[in-house]
Amino acid sequence: MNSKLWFLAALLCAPAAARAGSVRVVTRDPANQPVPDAVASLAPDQPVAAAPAAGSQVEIVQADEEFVPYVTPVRVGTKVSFPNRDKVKHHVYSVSPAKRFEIPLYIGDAKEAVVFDKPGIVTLGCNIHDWMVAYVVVLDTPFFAKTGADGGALVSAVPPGHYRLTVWHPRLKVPVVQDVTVADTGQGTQVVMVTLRPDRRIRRAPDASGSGYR
Amino acid sequence: MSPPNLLRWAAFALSLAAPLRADGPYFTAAATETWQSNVNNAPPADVTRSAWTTELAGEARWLEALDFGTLLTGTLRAAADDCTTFHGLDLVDLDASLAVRHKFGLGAYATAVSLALAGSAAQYDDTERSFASAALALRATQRLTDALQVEGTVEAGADAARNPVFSGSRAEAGLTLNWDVTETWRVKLIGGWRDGDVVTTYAALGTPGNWYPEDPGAYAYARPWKYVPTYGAPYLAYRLRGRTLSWGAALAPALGEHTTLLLQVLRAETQGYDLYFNTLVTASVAHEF
Repeated sequence: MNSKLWFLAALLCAPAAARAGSVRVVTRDPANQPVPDAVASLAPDQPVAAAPAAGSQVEIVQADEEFVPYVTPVRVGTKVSFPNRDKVKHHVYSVSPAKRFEIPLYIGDAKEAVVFDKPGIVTLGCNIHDWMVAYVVVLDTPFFAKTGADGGALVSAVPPGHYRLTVWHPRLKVPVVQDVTVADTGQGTQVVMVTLRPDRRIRRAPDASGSGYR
Repeated sequence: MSPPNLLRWAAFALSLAAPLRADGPYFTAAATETWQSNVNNAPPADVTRSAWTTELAGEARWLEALDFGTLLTGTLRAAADDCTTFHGLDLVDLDASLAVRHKFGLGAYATAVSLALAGSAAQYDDTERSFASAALALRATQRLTDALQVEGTVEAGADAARNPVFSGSRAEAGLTLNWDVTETWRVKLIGGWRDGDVVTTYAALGTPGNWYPEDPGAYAYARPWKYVPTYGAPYLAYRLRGRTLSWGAALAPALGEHTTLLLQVLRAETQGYDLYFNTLVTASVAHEF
């Protein structure tokens, strides 16, 4: 009897991560095509324990005069570094309310990483190369993932409960929000239909000029 | 040293300094085919000659970022033109320029202004046309939306040719609207104004050594003039002052991130002693390496 009571107590005290599910978010457009670079995040209705701490560092690289990756989801408090692998200098900046900053002209590694300390969407640009753009999605929930080429994203280690699923994409006018219930174990699937605005970016190709009148 | 010579040497010297500490070189190559309706710039009552010209050009560019919004660019360009109709107009050309561009603010929508000093030297098959030139240009660009950008230019320049008929000075202004209909397709609307020396031709009458124009008024209006054998028949070339208005449109599809095609039609009308019309149709491809 004592051994059974001890076993029951151990089960009740087991870390929440042992009773966690996952949610696979699948994004599709009206033509049923996958939508990459969408950020799916789960915000709990109630506070959850054992949320991983911020403090990790990620990289957004400048290569071939583009930012890589195009979309980077991070937790509030994450440090982001911006190594420049190009032969030409870049001037990285953002004027978004969630994080205003600029990194003076540099090649190689920037002097300091930037800490993204407020939730929100941060649009990055280069003041020399106008076509360069990228997004940092700063989230105050630890439960998020970015969709890949197949339009799928797996948000794992999610404690059971009720959540608000938000799907954000740079070309979505308004994020898509749905209610989701996460079970104790196993994987649930949420299919999210999104209608994206046309992909309009500043043209990068050189400007050819024709013969003028002399 | 005369002002045009001084400008020419200053531009060349400054451009040599650019490679010393800058990023680059970055290379661009271009091939262009142009048809002109009135390459000899004759009045409508005279005989106008059309011509095709093929140009191959290569350019090397260096960049130095001076501060957050200021960029210094040095450029060297070499080109060879083959006028398949009138080989006297074949030429090789070397250009050097130094430009400073400043953006007033951050982002794609900030106004950018640049000041450029350029020098060039061209060697024609018809050697009396060979010249050296210098120009100073002020350019401003303003993006209105992700798809619309306006560019304005004002420029002053001077040419010193082997024969004074082909020398001269000019002031120009231009306005271009770039409309990116899609990320691939760009439409350009172009307008230009030019005031300065223009070389026109009139059919020559008489005999070698004793040429005279069909229209004596042209001789009275223009100074200097000379006989030119360039167009396969006797012509007299005149330098005169004229004001040119030009306008046109172009389609510029992007063939990937580093290559652009250009198809342009430009119409130019010059008011000098007479009214001179010219239409230029251009097909060009440019690639950035």
